[in-house]
Amino acid sequence: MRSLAILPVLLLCCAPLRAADGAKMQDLPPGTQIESDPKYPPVVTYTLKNGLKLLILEKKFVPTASFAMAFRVGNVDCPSGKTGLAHVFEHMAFKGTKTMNTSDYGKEKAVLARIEETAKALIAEESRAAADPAKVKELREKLSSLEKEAGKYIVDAEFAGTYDRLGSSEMNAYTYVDETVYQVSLPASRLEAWMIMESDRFKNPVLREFYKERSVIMEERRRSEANPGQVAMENLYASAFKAHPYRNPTLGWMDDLKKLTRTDAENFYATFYVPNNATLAIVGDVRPAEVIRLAEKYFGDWKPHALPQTEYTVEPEQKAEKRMTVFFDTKPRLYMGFHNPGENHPDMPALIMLAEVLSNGKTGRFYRNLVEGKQLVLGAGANASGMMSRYPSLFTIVAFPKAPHTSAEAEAAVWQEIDALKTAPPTAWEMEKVLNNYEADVVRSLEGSLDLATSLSRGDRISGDWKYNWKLLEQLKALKPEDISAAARKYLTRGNYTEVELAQPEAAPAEAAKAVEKK
Amino acid sequence: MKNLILTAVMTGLIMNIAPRNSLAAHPELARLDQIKFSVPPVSRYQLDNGLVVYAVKDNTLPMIHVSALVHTGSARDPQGKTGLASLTVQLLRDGGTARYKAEEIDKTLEYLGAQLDAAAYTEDSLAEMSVLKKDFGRALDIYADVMRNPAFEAEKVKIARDETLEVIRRRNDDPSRSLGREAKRMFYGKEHPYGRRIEAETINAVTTDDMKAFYSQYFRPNNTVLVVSGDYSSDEELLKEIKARFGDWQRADVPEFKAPAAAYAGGRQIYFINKATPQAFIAILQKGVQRTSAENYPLTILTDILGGGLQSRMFVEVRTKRGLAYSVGTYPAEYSQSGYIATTCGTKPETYSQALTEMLHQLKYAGEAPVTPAELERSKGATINPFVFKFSTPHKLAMQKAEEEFYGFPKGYLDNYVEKISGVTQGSVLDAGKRFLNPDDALIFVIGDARKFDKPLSDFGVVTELKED
Repeated sequence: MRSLAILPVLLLCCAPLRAADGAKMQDLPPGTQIESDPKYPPVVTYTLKNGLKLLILEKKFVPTASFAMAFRVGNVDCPSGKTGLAHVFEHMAFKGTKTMNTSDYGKEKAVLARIEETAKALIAEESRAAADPAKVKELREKLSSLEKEAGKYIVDAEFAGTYDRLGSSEMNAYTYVDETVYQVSLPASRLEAWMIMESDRFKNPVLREFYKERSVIMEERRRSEANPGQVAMENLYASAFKAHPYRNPTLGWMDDLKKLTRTDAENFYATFYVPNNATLAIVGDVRPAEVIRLAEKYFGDWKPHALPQTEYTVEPEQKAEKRMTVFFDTKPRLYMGFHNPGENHPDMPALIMLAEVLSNGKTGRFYRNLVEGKQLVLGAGANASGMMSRYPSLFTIVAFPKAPHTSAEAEAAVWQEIDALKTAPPTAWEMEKVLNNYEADVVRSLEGSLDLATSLSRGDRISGDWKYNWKLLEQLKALKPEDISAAARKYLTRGNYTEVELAQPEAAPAEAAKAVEKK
Repeated sequence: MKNLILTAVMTGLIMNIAPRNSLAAHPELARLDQIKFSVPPVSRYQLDNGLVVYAVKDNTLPMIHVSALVHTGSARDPQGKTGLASLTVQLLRDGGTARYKAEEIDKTLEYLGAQLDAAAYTEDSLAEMSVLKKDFGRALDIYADVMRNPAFEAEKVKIARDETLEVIRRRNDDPSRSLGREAKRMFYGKEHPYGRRIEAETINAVTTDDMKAFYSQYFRPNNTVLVVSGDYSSDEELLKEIKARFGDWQRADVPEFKAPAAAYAGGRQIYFINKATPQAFIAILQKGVQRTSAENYPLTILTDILGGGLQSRMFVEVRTKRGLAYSVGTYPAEYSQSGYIATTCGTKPETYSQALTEMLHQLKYAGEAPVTPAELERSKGATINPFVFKFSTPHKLAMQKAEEEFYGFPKGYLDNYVEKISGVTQGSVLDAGKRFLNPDDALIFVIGDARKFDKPLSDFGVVTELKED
């Protein structure tokens, strides 16, 4: 393979970020590091005594700053029978604090305690094999009247409304299997305001309106049940994993959601929401010395504690081909999954390259051979890890057959592409193209600020290094074509394979729904 | 501040919208001023053939972005040939050019890590490219030929047409996506340029000659705005490169577009598709205004207060307080000649009527009582303070300035935007509420499982049931 001019471009790409009137070591407290290797952007790293890690990148175009706070806690960390709890807490983190969203927390707290007691009694009654309908009704009414009482003390959406007034953009949060990330962009002059808001949020959250928000999340779950792609993915992970918690949907199983309590969420918060479990990345028009000073001021007294061990059941080797047809009122779709060895495993770059050779662009093999050549599918894509990284996850392939072709034909054609790569390695051109694309994407990733902040904080806290994407490029560059074939032979095998296809129910959809109801 | 609570109680609305300064918890935040931001200057040039060029030089990263905005889209499809615009513009990118075979374009651009996409929307088409600085000249050669000399290779036409047919077959796979399309179709009319769908017959009726004619009618320099940003050396150098490739592009008269009136004339109309799906999907469509209308200032504030985010009335009442929905909101949609205001929600069928009742109630209330000073203050802050984010990258800045001209906004629109929003009053918002949000003048579209509904949809008015197709 020809050697590629990757380094010069990366130098070019990061040098201007450095050339600005960037951080000077003498202004910064001891322990601060400034990335000096020109391959990487000049990120300033500082860790507070309580373990909260800061990553700061000065970037100036207009005066804005983007913030991403990544916690190493996700759906895998939910206790048994409490799937969805990580996501539920993330929703609750928008409900205010002891001073926000409330007009009198002292009085409110007493009502919240009575709500919790009543809700627990209601859940217990509803969970009984022979629940007493009269008692359920009574408890529901009591809960509802207590919620009304608590409502008197609630200042609606004060937390969100304050961000609104401050001029926030893209305020959001997401929960996934491995992590929970809180994001927002603000005018740069609001740096201290962010510190005030977020330190209060993470030090003093009050999970008010819990049972109403739980209903909202059940609606979110129903919405996903109406979405064919989400239904298929949920089935794929639930079937491919039989032991490891990646089998559980981040939205939670409906029955678990019905039983979650505010106490569960508070315990979850107390266990995982500590400064030594978080990385904050700030990208924008900020001075690192000021960021560090303010972080010390507002987050310095946030108490750390030891985290529980999070080594969950290791997924046993599959040794089986798993196949399922999910009936759903949609045109056919094919989802394929193969266990990968995990993002930090030395085989992973080869699997990433393999996925790209298959599905990168119109010159990728899927497009060239399945969309154009055989004209079997509307589209097909491969992904080596689906962004999961704390534990081994799935290499996935998705294909939408084009009528009159079937999922079976699409599957056979995908296997042909896989098998071809097992015997003949990709060409040098194919691999160079992928490397050039990664290189350009690394530059593109520096254009936006919030995505960059998210990627830095997630990289640091979840993948173990904020330079993850840059290092991956170097690892990809070191691959030899035969490594790709070896990875295909090792991982894309029948004994490591789970197949899910969506197909129309045999009966008309309305009748099928009726039949399900009768059960 | 106490008065606000009283007002809410007196109007019978159980609404507790920030009855105190919402910065009271953290008084230090109250000191913060309104963000002052002036839109940075952007270079504008015009070639002799009419091509307008907006350019922002920024040498921070070795990347250059190019976008072309062209006045044409699906609204220009001839009757019986719906899909012509979308197929034509897709094939500019995919169908090869006079100088380059399609395969050569794919191979060259993808090898360079460059991205090029072209697509037609309702009234506009957009061709966007991003490329590393070192490859700019080569990529711009291809980009210019794509814009100027499309070849519509037969095999690529077949692939693109088959793809469209498959997308038509799959258009009802996800009911939450069907909802907006079908509601809009009933609102404007099945044959209206803003409402119609691509059908198998219409896409099959499109010939390559149709595409060539369509292309040559609309892809003209005087109908196009070109936007370039990033790591080029100087405006002079850039203009030289552009003139070398676009300077002899021939101008021509482009037909004006006149949209007929929307089919929906007012009154309560309800359409329903009965489908076994875990949520009922509701859309309420009402008449809006055209994109450049000055009425958009109060409407922006009104729709933000009503359904624009976590603190909006719809969100607080339907989601936060009642737990009836995950997604609920109100947003205006704009075209060059008319628009609509949509209020949408996904909710479980067993309680759908509670959500719909509350949504209608909120629409009605918006025309009955003024928004509170606290709501107005919050919404203005939420509109003015993040204004800077419209310009947060060199290309976003260049695009904003280009769109100001492309869409025909009055001169100084962006520079005066903050001032205009500041001038919105309780009175002008109430006036907009009265004129636009009367729930008796609303088209309601529902997709859901009627067997599970807590109340018949006919409780809300006369229902026309449609079959999904």
